[in-house]
Amino acid sequence: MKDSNEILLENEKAFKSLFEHATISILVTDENGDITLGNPNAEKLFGYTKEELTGKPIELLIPEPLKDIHRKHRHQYFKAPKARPMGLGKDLFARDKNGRTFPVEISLGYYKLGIKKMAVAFITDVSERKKAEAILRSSEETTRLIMNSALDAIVCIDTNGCITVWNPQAEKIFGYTESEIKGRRLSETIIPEKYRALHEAGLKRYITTQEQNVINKLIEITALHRNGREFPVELTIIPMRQKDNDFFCAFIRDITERREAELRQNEYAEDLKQKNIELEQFAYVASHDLQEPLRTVSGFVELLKRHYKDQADENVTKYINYITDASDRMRRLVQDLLDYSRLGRERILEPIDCNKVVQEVLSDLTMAIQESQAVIHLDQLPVISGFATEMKQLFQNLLSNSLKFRKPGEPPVITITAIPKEDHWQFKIADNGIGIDEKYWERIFIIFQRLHTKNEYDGTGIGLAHCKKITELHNGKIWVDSTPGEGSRFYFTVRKRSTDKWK
Amino acid sequence: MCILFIDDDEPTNFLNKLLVEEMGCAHHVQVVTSGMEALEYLTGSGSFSNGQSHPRPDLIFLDINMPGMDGWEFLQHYQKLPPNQKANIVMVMLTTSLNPDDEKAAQQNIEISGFENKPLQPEVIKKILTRFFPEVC
Repeated sequence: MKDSNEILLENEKAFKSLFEHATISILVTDENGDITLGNPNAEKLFGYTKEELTGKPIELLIPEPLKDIHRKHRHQYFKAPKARPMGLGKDLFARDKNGRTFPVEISLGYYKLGIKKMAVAFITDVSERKKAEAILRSSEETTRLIMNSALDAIVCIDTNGCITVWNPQAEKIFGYTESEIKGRRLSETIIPEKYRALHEAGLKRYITTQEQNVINKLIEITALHRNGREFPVELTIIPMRQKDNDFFCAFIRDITERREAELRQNEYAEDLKQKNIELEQFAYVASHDLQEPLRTVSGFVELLKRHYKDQADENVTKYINYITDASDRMRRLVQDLLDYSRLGRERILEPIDCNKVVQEVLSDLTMAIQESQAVIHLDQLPVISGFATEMKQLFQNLLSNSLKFRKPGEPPVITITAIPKEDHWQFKIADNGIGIDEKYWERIFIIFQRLHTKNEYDGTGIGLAHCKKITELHNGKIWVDSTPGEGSRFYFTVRKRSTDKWK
Repeated sequence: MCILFIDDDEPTNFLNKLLVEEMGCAHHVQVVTSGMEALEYLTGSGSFSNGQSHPRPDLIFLDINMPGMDGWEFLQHYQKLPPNQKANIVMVMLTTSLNPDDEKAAQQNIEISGFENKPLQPEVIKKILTRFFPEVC
């Protein structure tokens, strides 16, 4: 049997050890609030040594603004001391030797030492926990902000198919408020009836076998609005796991407007295609059918000429010549119209060496060049991808124009250059010809528009219209810049393609 | 009575001139093949600046679709002429144009008194003369 002294001694040893090794900070004060004891952990927490603490008022460890109120509470406490947590839900703060203020949690205990009432404070530094809580709160706030301002409807369901998350955009596109739909089955709300079984089966299959064909990709399906209207949506479903809970999140976008726009666009495109076909057909058929009566006129005029060659008087010859000229012109116009409508009909994109094309054209124009004593400056030209026949015709028309509209008595000087631009080639054909008044710079590209009478310069007025159509076939443009009396500069562009290279 | 035809097509001018001459309702028929030439005729300049006096037209038949300066552009220049070079002239547009916009534009142009389709017929000339030149008929 141990005697009571022995037991006391053992107890004291045990308590002392508890006190010394407790991971919580322990401070003991007397009724006056003066510190009588502090454990090593308290020393560590507050940065004071035991000696520095002993005998000091406990307010040493309270931040300045809270000292007064603490004193008041302390007096209150000793009137009816009992063990309880301190602060009653309020945030408590302590202050260490360095002046750092930090949040704490404190439990109060109480014992009597003779007649002295002693208070024991168990103090935990909760800085880290508070910080973690703040981070969590801010991250929750961020999540809420994202959810609320997302342009997509965000809808989550649990593995039973019940809705757990429903953001404001979901309210907007489906017409259900968050409170009325949360907890309801997805398949009974926003999925059209005909797809419900499919959805349920898919969900079940995924949960049991992980087999799926809709997860993590963009899919387009039909959704059901609260008012019964079905509408197209685009969505991505992402499976998620939080604390061992599986759930699925869908990001959903109402694509009604886009669908309608697509539909309209397709209609326009189809319409345009049809119109173009009709127009081509029209020009083709019209010019074809116009040739027929023309041949008759020409035929009979020829007959008249032959039969009455000797008897015809001056007037008859003149009339017959008028008819011949007019029907010849008509035939050329009709032929031009026919060519124009056929232009680029069967086109195959191929690499075209513009140097070669221009050489060919120049060789075709040898006669005109020699007659006019023209000087041609030819720059290095690129290899482009285009339509061979059309490109040749383009150069042919522009070059023969430069030769044709030369200043009388002055040999033509023609310069052909090309410069690479970001996504196209820009060609320039400059001459020293008669030039074009600015007011005609656009009209000259319209079919059959001419600036000169037939007596001045021959032609039907198709050449530049052809050029315009050809550049447009090459996704380019054509324009002119000119000084009347000094010369013209015709520019045209051809879109670059991956096969192009500077040669 | 002097009539001026402005048309780039020579056979058309030939036929019109012949028609008017056969009807015998004009003492002078002038033909020009461009708007520019017409302006020169009216102002006595260019190829008409040879000092000879050219009778001022009482009636002009104007073609719309001509190379370079077309009928409309001619009218713009014509409007700017001093009054003594254009006073009392009756201007009739004579065209193959099937474009209703042209007819509307012609109606709105104060210089234009009539809009007729080609080919020019004797009845049309008679109608115009009766309306604007009753003393000639």
